[in-house]
Amino acid sequence: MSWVIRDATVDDVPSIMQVEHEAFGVDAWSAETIAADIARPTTKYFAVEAEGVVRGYAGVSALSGGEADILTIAVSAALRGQGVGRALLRRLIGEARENSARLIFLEVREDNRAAISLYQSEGFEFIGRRPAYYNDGMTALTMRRSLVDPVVAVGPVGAEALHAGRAAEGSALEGQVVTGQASVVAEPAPLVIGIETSCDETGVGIVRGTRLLANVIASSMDEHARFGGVVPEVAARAHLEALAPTLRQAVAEAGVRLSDVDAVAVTAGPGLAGALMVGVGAAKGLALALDKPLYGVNHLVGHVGADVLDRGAVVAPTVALLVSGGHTSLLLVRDLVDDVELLGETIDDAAGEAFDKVARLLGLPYPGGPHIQRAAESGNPKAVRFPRGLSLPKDMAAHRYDFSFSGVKTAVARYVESIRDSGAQVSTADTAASFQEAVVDVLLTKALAACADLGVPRLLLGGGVVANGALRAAAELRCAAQGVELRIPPLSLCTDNGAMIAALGAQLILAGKAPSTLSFGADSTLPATTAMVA
Amino acid sequence: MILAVDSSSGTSVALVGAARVVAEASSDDTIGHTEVVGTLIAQVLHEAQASPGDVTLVASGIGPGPFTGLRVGMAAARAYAVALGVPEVGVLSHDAAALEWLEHHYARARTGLAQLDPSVTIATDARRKQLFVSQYFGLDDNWLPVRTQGPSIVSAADAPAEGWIRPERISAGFLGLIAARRRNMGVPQTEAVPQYLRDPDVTPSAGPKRVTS
Repeated sequence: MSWVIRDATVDDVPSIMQVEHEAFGVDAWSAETIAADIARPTTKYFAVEAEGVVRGYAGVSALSGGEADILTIAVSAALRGQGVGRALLRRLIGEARENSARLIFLEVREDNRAAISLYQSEGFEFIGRRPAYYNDGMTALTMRRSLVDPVVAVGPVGAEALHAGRAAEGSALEGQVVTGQASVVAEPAPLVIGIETSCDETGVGIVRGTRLLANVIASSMDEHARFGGVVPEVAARAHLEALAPTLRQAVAEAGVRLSDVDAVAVTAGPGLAGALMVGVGAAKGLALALDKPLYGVNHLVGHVGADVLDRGAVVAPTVALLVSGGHTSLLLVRDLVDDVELLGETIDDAAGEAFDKVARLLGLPYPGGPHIQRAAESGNPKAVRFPRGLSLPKDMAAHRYDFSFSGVKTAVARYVESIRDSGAQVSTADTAASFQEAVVDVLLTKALAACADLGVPRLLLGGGVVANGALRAAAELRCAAQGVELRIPPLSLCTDNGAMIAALGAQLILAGKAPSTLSFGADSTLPATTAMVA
Repeated sequence: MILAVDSSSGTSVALVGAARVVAEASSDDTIGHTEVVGTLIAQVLHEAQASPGDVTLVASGIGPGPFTGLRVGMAAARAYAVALGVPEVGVLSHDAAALEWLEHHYARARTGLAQLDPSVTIATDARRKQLFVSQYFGLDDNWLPVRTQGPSIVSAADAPAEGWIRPERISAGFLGLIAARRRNMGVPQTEAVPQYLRDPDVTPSAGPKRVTS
């Protein structure tokens, strides 16, 4: 049967689904998933057509950061044994190269020997294991190939049984097993474990270069609820308790051995001193036991660094707005590891803290952010015009990029008290919506002013308050209107986490930075200009 | 080899073999635990000419002691144990101080330099004009100190003018010896749970205060 590989379109989805079900059984993707993936601008799908029928398909996502992922390769039984799988794989690799990818990754079932052999013969090497990755509990092996160095592919075209990303029926995968070793000479991306304990989340993350392998977070948030805010001693005690289980879980999820780690990174500051010390102490113990270098890194720069896990690099220059319960900072990032400037920060409460305090005023639980957002959904954001801190002309002269949320919190309190004193009912929804509007407005007004003033067409958001839907929605609208590219890493990388610390550590290593000395301490006020401590 | 770490007052780190201290290094700074803990561990490894993986058991000083510093040593010890996949056990820091004093005292009594009096009270700074206090009565057959009371918190004003032992430092060497003797003799080890003896200094909020009069 003769066959041809062509670009796949959404119109191919019905016939692709037949191949999909045949190849992957219970692990088959839905038609919606495949259609959405084909339509996505960052992916490229190919279809194999034989005698007018689609008999196979494959897809790759080529990110701008120099890394590509093979999403799937499936070939129907009718076309096996004809080298279709290898041909598809090579098309995907070619596509990745054209998109300037330097590395290409895939995952494959550990029991799929035929596919593994094919990948090895095409120059892929093992970089990790992910236990219980597939629906039936099977382990996935992660493989990688450099696209920069010359790779000598050996072995005949002719193997089948390919599919990365997920499972296929073992029986459907019998093909010619190709043996042979490829010679891949690539600088391996550093495997870094990151520890974050600056506030109430114990985070341990593991990355390989810009690739996220594990991101485990234990939060003591519930223990703080009855106090209405994070209690440093409660947080620090919780860090010590969570340390060992969080470490072990991260290692298990990453499918690596701790002895394979190339370096340890830890948040040295800023943050709560007693909480930071648990992480720094632990990181030193870990680094010494593993006999590996240690990097004490900046928490705020870590938030910016989270973006490398999402798109392979932090595109600079960018303005970064970091908003959490502990920070409200506006940074100008010209270079992640070498040139971060603090444009402004809150002079009193952090934005997240204001959410907590206003939630209490309104009788809403801790943490305030999600409850305010929910209450605000049915409220009128224009009901009350709450003040925008440090936005008056005189403030803009002295505090152009600084924030203040103490005033808006007091204004809400005054408003609520005046309504209640008059015997009327306070509209929780309107008050929440109006307060949220004021906070979101001032955050974005100042961030976008910085973009405009500095001629920087990019804004990156980070910090737990990014979970607020109103902030994200307004950011999208206002950035689009101003022609500013908006970056919001996945929420799990926006809230405090160890993966961003590991990612920053990896960037520091790749930039050739020497590790920190063993004698650094926790620095609760570490300035954002210091990406790592000496 | 046992790695012993204590940061309940200053910071002390030791490597302990089957029955003796192989290397010990300490800092008496009562606030700089985070800064010194790493270099002290590196120092004892170097002095003992040991590699990090030679450690088969980690002993953490679990206090009592000021919380912030106490946790630093425990965190370093715990992560070290997790990294190597070896157990971490706890040793009450006062036990180490009691063992050190009692061994010294027994030696003096044997040589006739002192009258044998196995009663000893160990008191360490709990800050806020309070002391952490534990009482002991001699050593048992395994040469482990016998704690008869404590640890507890008392007002510094209630301390007798003399009689209580106020150790200048907790020795990780003696801490490690306790873990070694327990292991050698099959005496159950203690869990590495910090002995804070005080709740976090915080009370639940009574609700928002009025801002308008």
